[in-house]
Amino acid sequence: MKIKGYKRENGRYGIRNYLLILPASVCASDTAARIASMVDGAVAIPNQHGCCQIGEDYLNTVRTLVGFAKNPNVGACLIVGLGCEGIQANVLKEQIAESGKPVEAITIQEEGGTIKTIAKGTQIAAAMARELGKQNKVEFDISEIVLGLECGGSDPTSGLASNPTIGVASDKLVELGGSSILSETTEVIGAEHLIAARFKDPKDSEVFLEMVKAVEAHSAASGNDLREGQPTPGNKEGGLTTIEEKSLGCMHKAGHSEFTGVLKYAEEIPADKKGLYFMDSPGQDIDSITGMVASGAQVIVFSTGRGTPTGSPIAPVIKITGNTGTYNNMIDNIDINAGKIITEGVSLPDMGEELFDLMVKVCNGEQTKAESLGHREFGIYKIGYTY
Amino acid sequence: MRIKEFQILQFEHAVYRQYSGCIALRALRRRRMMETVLKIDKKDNLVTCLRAVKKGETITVDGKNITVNQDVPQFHKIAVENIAKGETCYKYGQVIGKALCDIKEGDYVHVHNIISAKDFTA
Repeated sequence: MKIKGYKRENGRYGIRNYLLILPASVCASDTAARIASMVDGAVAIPNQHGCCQIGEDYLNTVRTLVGFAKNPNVGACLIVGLGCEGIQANVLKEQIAESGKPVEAITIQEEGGTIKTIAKGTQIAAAMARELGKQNKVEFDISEIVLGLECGGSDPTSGLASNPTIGVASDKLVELGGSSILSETTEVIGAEHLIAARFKDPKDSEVFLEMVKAVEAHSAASGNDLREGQPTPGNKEGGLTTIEEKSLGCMHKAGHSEFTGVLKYAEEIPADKKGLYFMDSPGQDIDSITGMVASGAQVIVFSTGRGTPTGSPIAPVIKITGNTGTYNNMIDNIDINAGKIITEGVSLPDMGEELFDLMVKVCNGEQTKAESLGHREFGIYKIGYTY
Repeated sequence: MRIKEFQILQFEHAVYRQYSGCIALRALRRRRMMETVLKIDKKDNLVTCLRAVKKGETITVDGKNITVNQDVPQFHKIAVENIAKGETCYKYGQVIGKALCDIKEGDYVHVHNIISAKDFTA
């Protein structure tokens, strides 16, 4: 099956052609946003971190920022740093340049303040935008697609209708040679034994189980009870009672394919080893989607029982619900109604096909509702203190 | 709402996983009619309401008639067996929690009477 998109220098294919204005730290986020507002086709991300972080938090942030810029939906990148922050603009630039795509870096301290940085940044960005505008779409195989699987604001219909529908679509993509990413480590608690049994390599299975244990241990060490935050009040109102019940529904998004491997949060998905992956991330939707996009997902499918507007700055997010009431209530936000399984007796394989067809259209350029409304939520998984 | 179709779908999903045989599906379609609740797995002692159920209504699960003891919202759960305090609760054929108190057949089951079987503070 063929898709039309943008060929990148490293042989990967994007389904969108964004110019990313990347703030190296929170101190540069506002300036980056102002540059993006000046240039058509440019998008900035609201980075809340990037300074005074150590260990895994530092690495998570670097991987996320580099991963966003390397995502094939991004055609070129301008990094805006403050100058003195922990994550240096030129360090990001070196790593992003490995992809071969155009990347430039400026800092506010070097340019001499906000006004001069905006002026210089806008000049660079506008030139990059003109170059991106010259790019024509080319045909490529669907096996180049990486799909991120997300669920949030779940209710019992998520596990019964929308997540199994996503599972059918994900299985089909994997069968066609593409890749899918299941994430949200918190939301596999109670279903980890079922997922662990599906890894091709037993070593990956062990790594996966360690990731789950680490979340439980982190919660216990903090003296807090994970059950206070999971399920959320909305999950409970919808009818989900425990984290196990929520997890057992969540895992259906991954269909029945074997797992090819595990990824750290925002770790780049290997180009030469396609298939279904598990990525370590929190259950919080925005951080989870951000991590999968940084891993290389060009498109996200997001199932919701309660309804959510979430998008991503550089990847289309297709919203699906298993609850017809929610679909009708939030029709401005939700693209596809798997609640038809309940209300119209549509079969699961047919519903899966409908979602897959929509995904292909979106890959070919059709806007999702989140895109048309300009939803660009962004958040980086944070584990510990900022120092 | 076409409950019958929804029920079939759930079995179709389970079957889809292992067989995908149309014959098995059709057999399920014939067997599973007119039910208000969904029992996903044989092992389950909790079922999901496919519509809001009123106190005093009778539901049929595996040929057994059960009187519902409280109003239960759509997609929430009902116990189809007596579950003693501390005993395990099943949905999807898997553990979803343990009883905080004695739960009677027909009781509405939610956060007031069951809790995660995992102790994250240990």
